[in-house]
Amino acid sequence: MSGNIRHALVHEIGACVRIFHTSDWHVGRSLYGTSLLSDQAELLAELVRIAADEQPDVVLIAGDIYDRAVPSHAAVDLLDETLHNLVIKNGLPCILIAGNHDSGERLAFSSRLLARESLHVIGRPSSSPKPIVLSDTHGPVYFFGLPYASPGEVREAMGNDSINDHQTAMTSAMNSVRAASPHGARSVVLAHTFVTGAKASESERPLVGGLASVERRTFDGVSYAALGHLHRPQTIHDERIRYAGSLMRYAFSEADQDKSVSMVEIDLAGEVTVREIPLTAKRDLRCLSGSLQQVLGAAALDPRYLDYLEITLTDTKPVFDAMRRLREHYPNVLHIRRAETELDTTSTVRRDLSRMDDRELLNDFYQHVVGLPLSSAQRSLYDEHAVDLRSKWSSGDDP
Amino acid sequence: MKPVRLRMTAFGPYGNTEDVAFDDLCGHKLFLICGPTGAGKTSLLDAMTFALYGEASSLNRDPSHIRSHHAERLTPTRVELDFDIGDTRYRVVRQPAWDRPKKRGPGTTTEPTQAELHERSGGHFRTIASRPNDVLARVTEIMGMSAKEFREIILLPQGEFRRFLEAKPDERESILETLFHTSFYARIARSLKTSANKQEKMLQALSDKLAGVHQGAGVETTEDLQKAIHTGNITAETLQTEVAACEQKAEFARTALETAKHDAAQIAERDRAVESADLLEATALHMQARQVTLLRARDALAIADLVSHHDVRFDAVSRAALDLDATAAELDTARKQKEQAEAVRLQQEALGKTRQDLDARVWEAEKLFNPRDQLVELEVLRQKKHRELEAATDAHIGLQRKHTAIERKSLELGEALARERKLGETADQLSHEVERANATLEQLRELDTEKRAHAELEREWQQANEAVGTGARLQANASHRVAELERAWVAGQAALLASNLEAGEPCPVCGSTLHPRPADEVANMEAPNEAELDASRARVRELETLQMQRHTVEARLHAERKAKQARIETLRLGLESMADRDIAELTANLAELQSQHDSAARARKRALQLENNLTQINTDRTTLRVAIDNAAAAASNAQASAAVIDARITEMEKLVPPELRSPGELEKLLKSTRDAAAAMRKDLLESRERAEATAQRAAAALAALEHTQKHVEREAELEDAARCDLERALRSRDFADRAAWARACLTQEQAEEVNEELQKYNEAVAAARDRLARAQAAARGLRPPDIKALQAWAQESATTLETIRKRYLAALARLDQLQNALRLTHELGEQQQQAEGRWRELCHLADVLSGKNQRKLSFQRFVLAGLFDDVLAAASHRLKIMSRSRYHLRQDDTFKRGGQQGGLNLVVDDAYTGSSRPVSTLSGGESFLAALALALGLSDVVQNYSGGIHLDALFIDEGFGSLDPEALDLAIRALTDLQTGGRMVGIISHVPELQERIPARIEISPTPSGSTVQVVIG
Repeated sequence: MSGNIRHALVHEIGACVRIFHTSDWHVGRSLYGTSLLSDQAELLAELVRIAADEQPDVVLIAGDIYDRAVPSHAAVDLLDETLHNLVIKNGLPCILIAGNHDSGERLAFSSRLLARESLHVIGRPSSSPKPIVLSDTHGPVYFFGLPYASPGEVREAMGNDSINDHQTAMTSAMNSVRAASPHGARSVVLAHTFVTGAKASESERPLVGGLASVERRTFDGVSYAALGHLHRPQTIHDERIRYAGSLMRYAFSEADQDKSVSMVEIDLAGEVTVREIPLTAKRDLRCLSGSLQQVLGAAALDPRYLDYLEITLTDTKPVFDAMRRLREHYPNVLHIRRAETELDTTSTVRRDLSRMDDRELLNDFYQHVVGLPLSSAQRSLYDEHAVDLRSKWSSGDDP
Repeated sequence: MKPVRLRMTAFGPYGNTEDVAFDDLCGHKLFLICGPTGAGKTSLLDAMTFALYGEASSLNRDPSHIRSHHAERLTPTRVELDFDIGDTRYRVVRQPAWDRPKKRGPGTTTEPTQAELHERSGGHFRTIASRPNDVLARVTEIMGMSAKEFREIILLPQGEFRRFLEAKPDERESILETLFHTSFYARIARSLKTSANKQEKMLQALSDKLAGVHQGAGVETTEDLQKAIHTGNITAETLQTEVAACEQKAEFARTALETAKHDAAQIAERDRAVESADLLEATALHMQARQVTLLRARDALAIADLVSHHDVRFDAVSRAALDLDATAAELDTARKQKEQAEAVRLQQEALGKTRQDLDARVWEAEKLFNPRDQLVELEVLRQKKHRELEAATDAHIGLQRKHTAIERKSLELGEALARERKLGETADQLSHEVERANATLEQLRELDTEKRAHAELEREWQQANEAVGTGARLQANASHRVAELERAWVAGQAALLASNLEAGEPCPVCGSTLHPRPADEVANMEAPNEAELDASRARVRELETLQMQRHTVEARLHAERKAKQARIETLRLGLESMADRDIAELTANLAELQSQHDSAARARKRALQLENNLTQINTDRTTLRVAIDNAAAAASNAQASAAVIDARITEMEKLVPPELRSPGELEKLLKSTRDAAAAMRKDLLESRERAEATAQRAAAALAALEHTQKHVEREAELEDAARCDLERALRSRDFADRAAWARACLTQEQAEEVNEELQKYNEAVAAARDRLARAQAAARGLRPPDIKALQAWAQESATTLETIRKRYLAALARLDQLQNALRLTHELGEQQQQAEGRWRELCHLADVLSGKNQRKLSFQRFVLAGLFDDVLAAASHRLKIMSRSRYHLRQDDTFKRGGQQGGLNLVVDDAYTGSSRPVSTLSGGESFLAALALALGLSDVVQNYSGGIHLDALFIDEGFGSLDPEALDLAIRALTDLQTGGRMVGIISHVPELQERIPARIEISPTPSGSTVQVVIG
């Protein structure tokens, strides 16, 4: 390939470029041992329907497509089906990048072939990222995919030894992006990273490799940065830098997050408008709390009893077989927690043994096993022996 | 313990030397050891365990198989580990025993295990242990744990990570005891137990003692003892009274006896006094006699002086007489000697003549010296001359013989010369003949050669001829062929033309319009074309050329032939008759001639040689003649001089007698003669001296005799005087003679004895008188009593008294004994009480501390349980993360069996069921997480415990494969968190996900020559 600009299929677009931005599907993920694949299948079908309705110019999936580097075959099937529906059935060009959960190399299998069918997969970092060019009536829009890579991989790809963390890696990548996009043209970059100032969620896996966060001004110079990695849909400071959020709630602490996909429009001036389209899962992640009796009582009246639940039991007395009993009413209880206080009762008071001397210990011990305090006669008897033993011990006799 | 650098040589799958520098991990505390199966991941941990303790990382791996199969034969297996404990760096090096190929000879020799431990101080390492046992002891000491604990706490080996988790409380106790050094608490319990046992023994001893006391007192119990005492008291009193009575009686009897005895004694005394007085009277006469003796002795003493004086004189006289006799004898002897000596002297004087003779002989002998010497010389000379003569004669004879020989030889040579000369004369003629024969032979040979050449030429010419013939034939054939071909071609042309002939059309050849017989088509088939024709024409031309060549050759050869023939003729002419002779024969003849010629020539040469020889011989002969003459002259000279010498010798011999001629004989004779003369002279002188001496002695003896006689006379006079005095004195004292005086003498002692005797007697008499007087006075009016009866009575009463007394004392003694026993009993009873009290205390305390209490919890266990709680708290904290608060680890005795000791039992609380269950009920993945949490918790607490061991590193060999993806995530998160605590965690796993998640890796790659290790970041 000569030149910096690769002419893929040039699509005709309407008035301004319309982008369907989603990310963090984590296909194949399980939660507390329960596979969420069926829920993901439903949600992805929903997503495809939304996309089919919206008819965007391009679909951007910003990483963490799979949950694992080597996904299960069911997960692969699901993704295959989804992408097929998006790209072939609905004729929507897709650009997707690898995230930190994906194996970029595996994901990028046949990417050159796939690119011919308008499915652009970028799995590996490159020293000179080639844009996918789409044109609308105003002109071409350049899309750059920066897949997730460890700083070491980026260092090797760029041949630049000064890259030792994500910040420097991203800066270097963005420099080449900016260099490759013609001046004044609209450009969109896909990246999978953690931007300073963003809100993290529990279900994200932390990035490894030095400083894990990236300044938002790294993304200056592009019209829109379609980010993935954080599961909460959010924009950073302004609409230009945005996380689409995950496909569904992946942790109980995210029970308050609403999941969505983002429709983004960029006009000629580079102005960005974002519209969130909510995703509704049939089974949500929810937290309940109360005593066992309360929770069991409320079960009968709960319409969403099939939700994935985390139940915090507030009973102070022991409860037996809580899981089984709860599952009788809530089949999808994933996790039970007990209120914190019970966990600290143990049979003996914690002592700092390193600072107690043996006579105090003897006292405690005697009290504990006999229930009476040591008499002074007993104490002196003990002392006799202890002194003798200690002197023998310190003189180096083998115990 | 934090590893810093590991170097392995020929260890496990590592054939060469592999270095693992943990510093290369660049601060990544969590790292992965990955590689294909069997590459050597677990071997890395084995190497560390081996370096430290000499054992493998798990009990399933046999340490004797650690030597790498890829190793070079001469490379020893060696592991070196640099590690930090706190701030101190150590290096341990270990080399197992291996069979090294011998440097000389086949086979192997076993090198023993080697190990070293170094400590770094001040920048370099110093050795602190250098024998395997020492190293193991030191390592165990500084690590704070043995290999077993190492495998359960720092290194979680493959498949065995659950050991600590699922251990029985006793095992757990022992591990925790080692880690937290709580053995003191176990030992104090044991010490108390030992004391209790000792105390019990003491108690038993006391009891025995008490029994002994009772037995000794002859009672069973203390009560009996008291009763016995009471009885004893009464008995004693009774006996006491009795004793008093008996004493009185005895006393009375004794007094009576005393008095009686006294009286009896008085009477006896009086009797005895009378007796002794009488005895003394009897000896009075004897005493008188003694008195007289004494008086006489006194008298004798008075004249003792005189007696002795006389004795002296008498002795003197005797001595003088003896002297006289002696002197007379001496005189006699001296006279005799004198006469003898004189006789000898005269003898000697008489030998004067002999002496003179001897002197003359000496002089004679001296005269002979000169002639003898000359004789000796001459003899020598004569010998020499004779030898010369002989030699000269021999020489002469020898020369003559030589001469004769030469003469003969000369004759011989002459003859030989003549012969050779004759032979030599034929040489010239022969050489001519040889030349001629050579020339002839040459010519013949040449002829032969020419003939052969000629024959050759003939052949060639023949061939050429034939060739010409053949060529001509060929040529003819070719011409025919050409003609044929032309005809054929013409025919063909004709045919061709004929074929085009039309009837009525004019023939192109002849113009005729009639064509009666057009050329045949058939012939047309064979018609050659132009090319063929040309070819055959060319062939003809070729052949022509060739034929011309052949002709040329033939002609040449013919010419040569002719020439050759001419030559041959010439030669034949030259040879004439010889032309037909056989070459071989001629050659043989020539050879014969040649040899003859050669021998002739040789003969000539020899003749010359012989001439020379002959000349030489003649010269020699002449020389020899001269020599002979000389020799003869010499011989005669020698003879003459020999004769002269002989004459001289004869002369000398006349002078010297034969027996003196040999050297030394004369000297001997001279010496002996001289000696004899000297001896004789000596004898003479001696005899003269001796005569003189004896004469003198005789004179002296005579003088002595006279002197002695005078002395004798004087002495006699003195003796006489003394005798007279003595006789006078004897008479005055009434001694008859000297013998009587001698009898009356007494020595001083004897006198004193007698004196004493007398004195004693007198005294005795006086005393006896006194005694008698007294005794009579004392015994007046007394009558002898009956002692016997009184004695018997006294005896009886004394005996009775004794008996009673004894009984009394016995009773007292017994009483005493019983009271002692009672006292002891009281004492012992007190002691017993005390001892028992102490024993009970000790027992109780020992039991309680050993775990015999309600809770079945020993002291150590109690302490450990507290520590274990801390451990579990730390573990549960981690497990909470890894199980998302589902599981919690706790100590609980609920599930222990009834008789077991309490404490250190582990249960897991499951939030889902709300109940607890033993840890063995966890699934594979769950128990891995629990074990991991426990290991981490344990190392947390041990770290913080004062004086605790440094657990700065943790290694986990597999186990992650049993985790589902979520659990793996949680486990990795928990391990990642550890890095903030500064602890190093190394994981061995083949799970691919981990390779992507953990950036710091130690990658192990197998190669055909052993595995290699590489640290990779990112």
